[in-house]
Amino acid sequence: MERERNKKIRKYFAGYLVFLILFSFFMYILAGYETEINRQRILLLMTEHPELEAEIIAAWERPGRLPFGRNEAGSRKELLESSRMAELIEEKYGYDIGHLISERTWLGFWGAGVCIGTVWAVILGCLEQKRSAGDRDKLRKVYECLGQFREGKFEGIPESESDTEDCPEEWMKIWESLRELGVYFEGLKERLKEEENSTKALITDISHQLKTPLASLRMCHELAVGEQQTEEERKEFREQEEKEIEKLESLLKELVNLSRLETHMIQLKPGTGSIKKTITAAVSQIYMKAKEKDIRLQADIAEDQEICHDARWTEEALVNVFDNAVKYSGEHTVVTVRVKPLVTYVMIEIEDEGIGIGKDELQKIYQRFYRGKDASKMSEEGAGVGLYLTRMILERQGGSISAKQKRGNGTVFRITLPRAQFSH
Amino acid sequence: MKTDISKILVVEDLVKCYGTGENMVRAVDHTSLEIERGKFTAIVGRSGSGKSTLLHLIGGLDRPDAGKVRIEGKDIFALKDERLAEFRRKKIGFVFQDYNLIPSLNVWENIVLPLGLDNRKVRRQDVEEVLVKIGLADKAEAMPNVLSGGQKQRTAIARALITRPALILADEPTGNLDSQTELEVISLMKSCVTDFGQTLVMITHDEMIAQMADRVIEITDGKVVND
Repeated sequence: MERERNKKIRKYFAGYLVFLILFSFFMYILAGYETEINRQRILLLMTEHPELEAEIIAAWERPGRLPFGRNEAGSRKELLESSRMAELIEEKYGYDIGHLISERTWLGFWGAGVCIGTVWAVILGCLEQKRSAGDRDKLRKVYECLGQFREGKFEGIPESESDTEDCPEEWMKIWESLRELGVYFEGLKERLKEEENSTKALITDISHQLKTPLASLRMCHELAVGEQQTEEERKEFREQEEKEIEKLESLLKELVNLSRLETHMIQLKPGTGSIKKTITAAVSQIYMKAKEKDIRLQADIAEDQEICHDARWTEEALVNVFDNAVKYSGEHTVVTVRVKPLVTYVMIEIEDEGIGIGKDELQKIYQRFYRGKDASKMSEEGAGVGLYLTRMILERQGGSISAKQKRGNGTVFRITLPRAQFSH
Repeated sequence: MKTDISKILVVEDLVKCYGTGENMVRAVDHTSLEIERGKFTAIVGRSGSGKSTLLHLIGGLDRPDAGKVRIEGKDIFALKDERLAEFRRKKIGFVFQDYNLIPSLNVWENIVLPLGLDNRKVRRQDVEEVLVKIGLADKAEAMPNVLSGGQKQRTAIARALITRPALILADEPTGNLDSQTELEVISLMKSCVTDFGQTLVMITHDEMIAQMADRVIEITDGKVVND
């Protein structure tokens, strides 16, 4: 730091010296030129007026002083006389004798120039020193900040406003950018941590989910191969085993979907397509289940909408909602789906006449592996993955889902999907 | 000053009372909460529970009797009124129940108003993008009095979004709208906030809206009772 400062001072001094030399040289040349011109003029004067030669030479040789003056005491009078003389000469010959005296003033000029130069240089130097000190201070802070970034600490960005009260806009922008960078890095860090945690939680949850069906499968299997049982009992257990395997398979499928979506192994690829087609595909997946319970599926789609969505995964999301509607509804009921275009969204409403969702549970149904109290009683099937997946799929496409307990019995699910996707 | 960047908003022991003596009402009673960046938080509670007062304090529209509000680490009530107003315009977008549009300005002018207040440059492209996103591309020249409630609120949302504030505060933004428009407006706000990485704090009494939030805070008698 100190060396750099000395270097700067030296640079300043050198600059000043150069100025001094150049200025002096310039003044010298100018003075020389002026003297030369004066000499020429005097010569000219003398050739024109040889009778005044003595006076002119006297004036030339003692410029500034009286040509005829002798002692100091009479200087005032002499000065007056001299100026009168000068006026006389001027009057007589149209020539300003004042010029002759001017030689002395060159020194004054030079002095003044050097003085001004010195003062100017000092002021500039001080200002520069002050500014660079301030800049250095800020630069050091920026450097410290970057150092913190390197160490993985992104919180320590100085307050922009208080530190930069009277700061030029460029510095403000640098602070702002640093802040944004910090926020961005911190966000990345957070997300990484969150992802790691959620992956851990996912693994725990999945293994937990798999334990129970696997245990019952093992039990069935052991009973089926047991020696005490009759042939008929064995057959029964085999059938039970078959069912358990099916359940496990469907659970596994759900879990695979879940973990793939959750860990972003599957990216949704929205493309323009008919929402009616997607809904129809979803309905056809649960059609058989509904028929078994004699549940009527009713569609109220005013006009088909071409919207931007990932057909395969949106279908999956809708199937989960339809599946719930059928699963938790009694026989001979109706499940209705309505599609209504909003301004920038399409609303899909799925209404059932089932057991409904308690008010205190409405917030929780989208949590992973959450199962409603009534739902658990009603059906053993299901791992509490469906709505969680549905919400994730919809939200990743800029959509949403919310449920409402219907007056009387049943639930209404409202799904929105944007008509067009925006990329940022 | 070191700040925790992941918490965009920190409320510390906030108190606000109205009236004096016997009639004193503690609208906000020693409330503390933290809100994470990039999340959608719903504040629910009965009317008169102090949730609107809380939101006004968070947004620096009103000064508390005690306590602090930090936005991005900055203690907003340490600022003088003028600086606070400037800070508010830069960092916070407001959406109110009654839209608060300027009746003599058209949709476009209403949207760019906050930019003009800070002498910021209006980028045509930005405004058009927001207009398309909120579905008002063909209404840019319309005056507020010819707009429907939903259109008015969407204009207000665009106005709150145009400055790209880090924090958006909404006080019952769909209180005056029918349920379908409501759904649309909330979906819009939610997706805008996700797209722009903003943080949304919304007061609502509607369960369906609260379900769409990442977090629900319940306020009763000026206190956080459920989180």
